[in-house]
Amino acid sequence: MTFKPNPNHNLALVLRIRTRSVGLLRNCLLASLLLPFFLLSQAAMAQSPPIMVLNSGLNDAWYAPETDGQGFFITIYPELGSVSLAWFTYDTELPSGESQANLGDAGHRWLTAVGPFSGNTATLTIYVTRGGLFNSVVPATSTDLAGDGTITLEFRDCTSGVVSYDITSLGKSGQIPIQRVATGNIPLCEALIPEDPEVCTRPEPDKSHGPNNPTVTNGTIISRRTDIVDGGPGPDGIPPLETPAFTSNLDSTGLDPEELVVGVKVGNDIRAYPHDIMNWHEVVNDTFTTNGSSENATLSYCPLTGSAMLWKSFMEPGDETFGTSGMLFNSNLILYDRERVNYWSQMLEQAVVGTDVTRIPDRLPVVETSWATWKTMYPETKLLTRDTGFSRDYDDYPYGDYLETERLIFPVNNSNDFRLWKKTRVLGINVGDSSKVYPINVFSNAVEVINDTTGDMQTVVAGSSDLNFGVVYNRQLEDCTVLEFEAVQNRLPIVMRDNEGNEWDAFGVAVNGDRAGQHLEKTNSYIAYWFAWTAFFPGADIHQ
Amino acid sequence: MIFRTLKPVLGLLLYFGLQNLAYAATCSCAGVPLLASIDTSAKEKGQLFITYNAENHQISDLVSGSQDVPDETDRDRHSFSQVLSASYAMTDRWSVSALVSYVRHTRDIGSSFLGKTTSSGIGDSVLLLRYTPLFITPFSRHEVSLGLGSRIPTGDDDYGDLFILSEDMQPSTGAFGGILWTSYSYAFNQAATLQFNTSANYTYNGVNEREYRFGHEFNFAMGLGHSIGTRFSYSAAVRYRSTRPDRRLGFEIPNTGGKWVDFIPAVSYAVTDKFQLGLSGRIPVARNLNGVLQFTTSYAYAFSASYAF
Repeated sequence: MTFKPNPNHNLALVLRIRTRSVGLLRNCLLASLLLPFFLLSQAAMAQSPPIMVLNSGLNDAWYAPETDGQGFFITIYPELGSVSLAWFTYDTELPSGESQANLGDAGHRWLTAVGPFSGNTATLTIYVTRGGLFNSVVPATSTDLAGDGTITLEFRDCTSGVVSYDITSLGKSGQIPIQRVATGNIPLCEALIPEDPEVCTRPEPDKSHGPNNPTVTNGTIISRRTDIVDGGPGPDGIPPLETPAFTSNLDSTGLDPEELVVGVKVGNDIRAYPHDIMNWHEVVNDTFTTNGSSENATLSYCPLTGSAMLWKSFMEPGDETFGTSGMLFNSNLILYDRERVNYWSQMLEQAVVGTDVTRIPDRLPVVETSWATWKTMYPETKLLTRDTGFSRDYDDYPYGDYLETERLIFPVNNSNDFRLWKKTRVLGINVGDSSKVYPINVFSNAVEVINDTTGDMQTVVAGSSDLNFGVVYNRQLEDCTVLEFEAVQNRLPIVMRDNEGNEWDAFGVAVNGDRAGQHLEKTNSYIAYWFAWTAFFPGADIHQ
Repeated sequence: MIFRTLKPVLGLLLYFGLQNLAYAATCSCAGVPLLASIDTSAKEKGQLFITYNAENHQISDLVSGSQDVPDETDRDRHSFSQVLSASYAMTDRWSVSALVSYVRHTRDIGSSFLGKTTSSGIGDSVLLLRYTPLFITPFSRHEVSLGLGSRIPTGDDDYGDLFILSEDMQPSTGAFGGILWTSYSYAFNQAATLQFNTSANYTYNGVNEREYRFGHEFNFAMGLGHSIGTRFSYSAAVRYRSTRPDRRLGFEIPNTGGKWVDFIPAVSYAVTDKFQLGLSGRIPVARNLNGVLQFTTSYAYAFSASYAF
């Protein structure tokens, strides 16, 4: 039995003798027949996806082109809240000898599955019917009513779904992406999707800090040539660290407890990168261990804007490290990726010049705080050492009195926003067109937690002026639960507790409670100097 | 003619004093010797001097204050400048000089994945008026000169493709400047074959369109020059140079400006009475630079050719 789409978009269930040879002609024909379905499904996916709910418009024959010859009949019973599925397939092994599967042979098999559904997913119990002969009661069939496993049926939309099966009695499990054999029921299906489904609609944060669709001209999104300034040192003239060395012997470091560090927690690795070293190198190409495998990432810190980022390395071979370009945009570091030589604005967190312009790196959270606070949070941390291979006096600050004065070294946009002192360290967040900053020195001395809103995102902000940190996360979970937080004192790295009793650390990870292990969603946020934030994101609200 | 005999010595020594009547840069060292090829010696009325000068300036020493620091980035930064100048004596005491320059900057960080950066083009020009109230003759062993000039930004100061290169990589400063200088020479004998020379100058730098100002600069040099016969002369001088930090947007830029002491040897040969060739060098002796880290002069050498009409 073979499921094939009909070019007239009508169901054609073709019963034929199955041959094991698959000819090129048939593949070509099949591909041409499936193309309209593929395009339709892609077009549907390119649009804003509807909130899918199982409905009777899905009642149809479904199959996977790759396993042509088998297929599914699926029937939704909305009133009963249940689904019935019949899976027409074959034996788990080929018949012996030269024999082939013929009509009525024992080789043909079918499975049935029944179960409830919720939203766009049904969880069904599989029943394997055993014995039996074509149109005969002899021998009698038998079915294990306890079931032989489960099938999870999930529909992303009205044109495609996934069958996940786990037939425990046979030791078989896997996934089959399925599509309709005919498209006639798609309009019905779409019409039956409720306008106000009981499905979570958590707003997705923008991927980019900047405009969603920036204008690209001559390979750049920076409109004025003079906005990018050559700082003078030249590319990699401020030398990145390629093989950073770390120490666990924290007592021997002599690092000032008030010195700021960029704290990182990736997989099993907890590391601190002191500003006094980053001031001289700005970029560290590092390697972390996650679930037993190594993962490359680049930590960057711009001493002129006081901003730190951690970006995962790209997957393209040979395209895994960044360098310092020697250029600045709004006085902020521009990195370059060494294989494809795109230029990346650190604070915009995207490529601003090059063939990959507007590309956004995968970002990981960092916690910028004092060495004393970080060491209290994570006593097991490792610390970047001064054994960098470069002759730099890390006790010296390379920019004179820059931190103590209003002085800027390079031109910036919107430099007349004097609502805060220029070098005030602020925790900033961008959501859509909305931007808000939280001056670190305005937080209370103890840990302060603010349940807040920026744009359409409900956020939680945790910070402390004495402990010198600030973080902000999305407090709406994936299941749309909106948590309310309160501060937790003296239990670093735990900084807040939600209304369900879960306790969360500074990285937005639940460490105690029913939600232990869950992450609050990372936001488009980081700490920077006020002048830099308002240069990139003019008009930001200031939390008082 | 005694003046002919004196020309090589005078030319060389004044060269020392004016060597850096140019501009500093973000590394306080990328000066182009705009006035190096102007012959500032006293001339007879109606005399015209044309001079070509070429200098290679290597700027790869890394210094913290007065301490040399190893540069693990393997940097090669140098500037090659060519200057064509003309000096004309309107009277025995008054003369005027003008020059144009062509500059090529190179920056190559060996440890970088990106290639070297170069820029080239017409640089600044200079106009200089000189007054010599007292000059060496068989009856006078003293010479005094005073000068007043202006640097004119005739060249390209926004060089670069996608990005405008840093100020020290631009052929021109993009800003007007003012120059004051004075010199004094003493001849130890009547033939003036052995001379003591000293000179001082001050350069005031204006602000360019990007609100960048190179640091104002003061130079003082002194040395001895000796002629052997009528053709060959040599000299040695020590020069003290001090520059203010550069400024952008009205604020001082860290790690710019400082103080230098250089040793400047030179030789000169008069091929004919009208045609003269010269070689000179510049070797750092001591330096104390602002900030915590600067790239600065490693050495410089220059060739010059002058013709008197």
